[in-house]
Order: sequence, then structure tokens, then C-alpha cells
Amino acid sequence: MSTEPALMTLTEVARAIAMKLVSSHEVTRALLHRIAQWQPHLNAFMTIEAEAALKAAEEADTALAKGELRGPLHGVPLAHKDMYYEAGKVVTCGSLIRRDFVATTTSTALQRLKDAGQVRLGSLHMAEFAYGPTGHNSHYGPVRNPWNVAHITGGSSSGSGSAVAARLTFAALGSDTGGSIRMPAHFCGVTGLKTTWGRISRAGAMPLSQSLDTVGPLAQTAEDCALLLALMAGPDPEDPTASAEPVADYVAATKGSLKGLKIGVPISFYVDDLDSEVARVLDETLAVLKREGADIVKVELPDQRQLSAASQLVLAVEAAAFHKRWLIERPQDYGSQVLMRLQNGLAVPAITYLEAMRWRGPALAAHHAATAGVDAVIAPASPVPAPTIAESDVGGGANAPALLQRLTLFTRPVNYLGLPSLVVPSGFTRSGLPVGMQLIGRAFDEATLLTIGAAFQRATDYHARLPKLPEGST
Amino acid sequence: MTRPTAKEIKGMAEIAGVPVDEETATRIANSMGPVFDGFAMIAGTLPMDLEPALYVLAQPTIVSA
Repeated sequence: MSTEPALMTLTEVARAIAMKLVSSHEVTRALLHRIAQWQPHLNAFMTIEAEAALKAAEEADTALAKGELRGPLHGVPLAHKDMYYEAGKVVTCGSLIRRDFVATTTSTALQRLKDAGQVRLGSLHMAEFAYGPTGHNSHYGPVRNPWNVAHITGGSSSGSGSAVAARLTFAALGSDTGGSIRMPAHFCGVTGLKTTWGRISRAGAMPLSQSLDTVGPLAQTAEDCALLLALMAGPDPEDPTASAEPVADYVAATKGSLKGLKIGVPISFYVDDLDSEVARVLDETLAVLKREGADIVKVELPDQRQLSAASQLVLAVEAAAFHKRWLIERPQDYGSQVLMRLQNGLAVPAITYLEAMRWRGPALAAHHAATAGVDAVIAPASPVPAPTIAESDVGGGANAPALLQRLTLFTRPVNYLGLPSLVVPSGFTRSGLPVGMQLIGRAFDEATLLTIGAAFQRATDYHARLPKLPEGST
Repeated sequence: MTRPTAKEIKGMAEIAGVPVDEETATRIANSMGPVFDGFAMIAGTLPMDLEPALYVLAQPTIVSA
């Protein structure tokens, strides 16, 4: 365990505050110090609420001194993707259109973290309306990768990935509609959990695609993700799609062993045309899992390209429908890439959209049948490590559109099926960029993924490595 | 299933109340074409008694810890 408060994991710092080994004020100050150092390099935060955070931390310390422990996150400073509504706060959704939007309600996921005692540090940068895979934002500038600031963070939870990697927050909420938690986790070297569709309420979270949107955490460790999932999961009267399926003991699941677990490696698609360093990290990860007791077997999955296509049809239509009013009234206020993505939904006939929706059940049943013999499937989160900001931006050259498509190749099928997927930092390229592997589970079986992720993290230290502050910084 | 043409997209966008010019319609057709190709094997093959809400029935109950 680190003695530097800002470098502790979420689980460690929550315990240290509760045991009065460190104060919330001390921890908050330590984070604000790091934020002041890193923010000029990363652009990870949308707002930094230093004074309010310190005041809230003092109040948490005072309450604790009186014996009042508000919950498992008592006094823990956190910041989240700027799309979770908090009553009275501006929630930009990374957009110009909502630059001054003040929420009148608080999202259920955020409220549950507040009820557990979290202290608000501010809000985190994101892709405009969560509709972009890179971390580019034409209104507020790109978020930068702490491992190399010339490279993308991945999106759309760009600020969440960057801030957790640089230890500017102990964890952060992201959202995942086509890979928006898993890509920043992969590119920035943090742990990210895309939850089962319906596992966490989406009430008060900015919508992009109601059939695909999921809420989930990014943090240092699988154990941290388990802690947050346990607090947020479960039904919600404000969201009829939030499932009443029983909530497992996710934290207990992180103590489990890999012995007896079967992990499937796809024989195609997820292992085709990989960047050589991603392929190497996949091999190394399999070796670790095997050494720790997992049984590694091959699996043949249904056609993932069809799932990806269906996912894109659903996303395109639902996003365009949410944005229709602004597409008519304020098209000039969107960034050009986001406007183009939204307009793509206009090409899909209603009957095609409904076919894509009708196929979800049979497609999920086929996936479960194909994976019936394994506890989870492992695959790279993306075929490539983080590209540079320049090569993936507008004007990034003739290859930029193909590159963007490639980034999300391995994440979109999982959204269509609504399955959980945990990305764990699994290695580094020779140039020092992180590489993450995703563990894909059965619906509502986040617990098994957390067992595997935590066991892997007990055997490796990739999740614990720290990026260095760029030279010339103080 | 075939890819929609730029002309068809222009017509659909107008009906949807979000008109686009020819250049935009062409760009959309090129961007979404591969998506339609990817779904072509499924389109038109689904049985009648299959509705979207049945998806949740395919989500099993699993609580393993």
C-alpha cells in the first residue's frame, strides 16, 4: 500500500479514511496538488471545484470525528464523466449545446455514490455527447494520455481514463455504448468495467442509445470496480430498464481463485490482424492466467461482424432520434465529426432498425450457447495501442476513418449483446503505451469477471504502474 | 438488403424532418454502406413471432458470488 494518499487505490483510501489513518482533507489536498500539476498537460477535468471539495472533506472529517460514517466512500474525493446529472450543477456532456445546462435532478448512479459518502472533486472531460471513440473534442480540446501526451486516451470517457491513470481521482464513472469505458481503460492503462445492460440504472445519465447505454466505473483495480458496482447495482424506480436481478457480493468475488475457471480464447475475429504488440500481450496474459490456475480453451463465437453491424444500426438511429431537435435547430453547434455520426442515423429505415432490435435475443442466445463451456471469454480491448491525436483527428489523413472504425472493432459486439466486460491493464508496448485485455462474461455475471481480473492483478503489477509527469513540469 | 443510395437517404432525411444536402447524403451513404452490408445476412430472415422485448428473456439469471 502506498503511503502517499493520492496513490492509494480506492479501496485502500476508503479504508484509511474510515480508520482515521488519514483525513479526507489530507487526501483531497493531495489529489488537488496532483491535479494542478497534471491538468495543464492532460485536460482531463472539465471543472475543478477545489474550495468546495476541501470544505466537503472537512465536513466529512468532522462527521467522522463524531462517529458518523456515511458509507463505504466516506470522505473519498471522486470526479466523474460530465454527463451524470447532479441537481444544481452545470453538466456540459462535453458539448457546446449544453455548455450552460444546469441539471435539476441527480442521476441514480451518482446519488448512490453520494449516499455512500463520496466528496465531489469536479467533473471530467468527455467526447461531445459521448459520441466519439478517441477523446477528441472540438469545443474543449482533446484529452491527453498520461503515458504519452501526444496520444489519444480513447473515448468517450476520455477524462475518466486519463484522470484515473494519472491518479487525479481514485475512480470515475464512465459510460459505455460502443466501448467508451473499455477503450479509455485499454489506452490509459486502468481497469474499466462495462456492466450488463440493465445492471446499473441509467436514470439521470445523458442518453446516447437507450438499448446500448451502460453505466460503469474506471479505477485502478478490479477490487475498486467491485466496490463501486456493489454500491450502484440494482433496480431503480426512475429507470424501468434497471434490472431486479439479484446483486452479487462483488467485493467477495475479487478474493476468489482462478482454479477451476475456464477462459475461452476466440479462434477468429478477436485474434485476427492484431498489432504485433497487442498479440504479444495477449499471449503473455494467457500465460499468467494459466499459471494462476485457469483452464484456457478455444471458443468459436458467432459472426462478430454481424453483431457489430447491428450495434451500429441501433446506435445510429437512437442517437439521431435523441438529437433530432438540435439537428434541426442547432446543427452548427455540433463538432463536425459528431454531427456526421448523428446524421448517419438518417440513413436507416425503421424496419431495418427494428430488425436489428428483434435479432438481439437470438444473437444473445447464440452467444451463450457458444460460450456455455467457459466462464468468460478473453480478447484484446482493441486491435491496436493508442494512436496519436494527430493521426486520428479530422484531417488525420486518408487512413483516419479506417483507423477509427478499427478502434471499436472489438467492443461494439459486446454492447449489442448487452454483456459485461472488464478491461484490465495487461502489459505495455515497447514505447511505453498500455495495452488492456477485456474479459467478456455472461449477462449479469460481473462477479466472475471481477474474480479473474483481481486474480490477474494479484499476479501482475501493470495496474499499479504510474505515468511520469512530462518533463519541464514542477 | 441493399445499401441505401444518396438519393434515398436524402428522401428519408426529408421525411424525418432533418433535410440534408446531396453532398451530406453521399457522405452518409458511403459511411453507412458497410454497416448495411454487415447486416445483410440477417435482414429479412427473422421469424415473425420475435419481438425486441424478448431480448431480456435471453439474459439468464446468474449470481455466482
